[in-house]
Amino acid sequence: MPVPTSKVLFRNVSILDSTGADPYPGDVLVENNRIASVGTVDPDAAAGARVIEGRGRTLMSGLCDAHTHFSWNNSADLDGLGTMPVEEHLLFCLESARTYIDSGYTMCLGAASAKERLDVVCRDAINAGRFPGPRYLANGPEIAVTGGALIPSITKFADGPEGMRKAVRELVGIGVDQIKLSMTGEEITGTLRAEDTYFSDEETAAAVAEAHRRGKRVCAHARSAESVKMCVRNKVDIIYHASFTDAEGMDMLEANKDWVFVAPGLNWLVATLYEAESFGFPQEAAEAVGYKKELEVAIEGLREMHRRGIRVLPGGDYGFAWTPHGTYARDLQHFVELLGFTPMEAIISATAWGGEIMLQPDELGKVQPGYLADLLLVDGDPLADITILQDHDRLNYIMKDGTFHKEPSTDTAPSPDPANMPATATERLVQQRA
Amino acid sequence: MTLLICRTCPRYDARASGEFGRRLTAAIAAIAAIAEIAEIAAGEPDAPVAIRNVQCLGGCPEDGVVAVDAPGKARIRFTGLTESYAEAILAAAAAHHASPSGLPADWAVPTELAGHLSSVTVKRLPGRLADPGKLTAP
Repeated sequence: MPVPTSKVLFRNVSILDSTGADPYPGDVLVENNRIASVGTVDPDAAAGARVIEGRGRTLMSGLCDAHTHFSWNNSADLDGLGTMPVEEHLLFCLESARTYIDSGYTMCLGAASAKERLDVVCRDAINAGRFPGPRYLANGPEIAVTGGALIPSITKFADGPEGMRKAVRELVGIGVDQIKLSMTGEEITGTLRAEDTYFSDEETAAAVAEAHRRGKRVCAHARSAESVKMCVRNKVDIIYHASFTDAEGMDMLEANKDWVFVAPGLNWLVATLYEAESFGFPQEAAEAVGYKKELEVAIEGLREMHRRGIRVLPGGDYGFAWTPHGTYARDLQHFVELLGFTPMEAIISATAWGGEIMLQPDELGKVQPGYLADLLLVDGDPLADITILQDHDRLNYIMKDGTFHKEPSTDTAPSPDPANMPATATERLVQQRA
Repeated sequence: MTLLICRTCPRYDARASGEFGRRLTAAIAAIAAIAEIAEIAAGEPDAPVAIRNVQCLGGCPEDGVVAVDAPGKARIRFTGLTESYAEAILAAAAAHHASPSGLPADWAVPTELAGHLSSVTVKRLPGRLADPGKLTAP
């Protein structure tokens, strides 16, 4: 059970603050739900605080998944997302939300819901403190045009500009935070090609204009070169996948990098190509329908986006049998090993840029005074080995909004050598005052 | 080198016991203790084998799943294991570590594990990675 506290002092931690600075030793004081001070903490301010002995462990921001589907139910086939009855499906979504925060994810951006209100109900239940979960921006069913639905049973169909406006209005009416457009195909469907674009410019423009008019953002399943350009032309805020971005699209993304986000969902491509055989989709089949080519092209393009300073965020379409919930941090490993991010860049993309995509850049994603206290105390150095974040045992403490979601019943982190224990910044301050 | 151990297996066990991961991790720690590889037993990040108890490795129908992995090297997954394979798993991790690419063609997969190899995930980097083709254990 979460333990509410009014003051918590993380003492002698390695502060990975997501500003780009190298980690440094110090203390961090949390007051109520915000970070009060970082580095050197005034002992008077820390009076009465509950003290967590960091013993050199890493204190960092909670992570963000920019492409979240609470309602993707670890199915071994696409249709399985639509056949689960709503009652069981809601329970599954609440379990997904808990799994996200158990995995160190305190920020998630919904990328579509398999039924109309699943995301919205989960968000509201989390915000009300009824169930554990990350901060969540909820989505509705993805909108597709006739003949362009990846999974018809979970799709909201709309055609033409007027149809788009109506669909957006209906979703805004149920309380979503953003709108999802499913603009292109997906090779695993067997019939809808990733390089084919089903939306028209007029439909995209109408959907975006209506959403923005109502203060909602738009995200899009956009694998084809044309769809990426259509997204940028029409101000789609978040582009998912962007696998086949061409030179013109790359220039457009770069020219608009102050507002556009790209979240490729890279693990879907990797795992579907290499690791889905146990669920009836062998590598040969994945290659035959084009996933090998798509992965190669996507990696080239995403590396170029990174080189040009376009914000590429982790978040991986998790929730299929071979990409199950709880494995989210594998995306960070892909960013380092496949996209050429340094571990620091991967962590910034999952934290500081997470705060940006959550629309709270001055409150989320950094260990800085005044920021909301969404924190992880990690046993180890994720800059030395990014895979540490995949091991939940290494996430010793998980705090969201100043309240512990996870804390060990007994803290078994190794004690420092008493003969060689440096004074904390706070202790030095006390000594200076003495 | 990194040894990834599933902490969920068997996924389809309604009790969600995760007993495979616990038993295998304990078995490896016991071997490490006997071998005086204290870093493994203590889970130190700079140990010869860094153990990661991960949520899932996607080989669930044949529960008992591990994978060996390293930066820039292919991730090799084995399924259908129990803690009795602990010695062979450690040997695989060491052999994978010593190989240049991690691809099974580059190292001797222990005989006990040869029939359990279930995926080879290539780290596809632009213009430099060899393609292992299909899954084959030597």
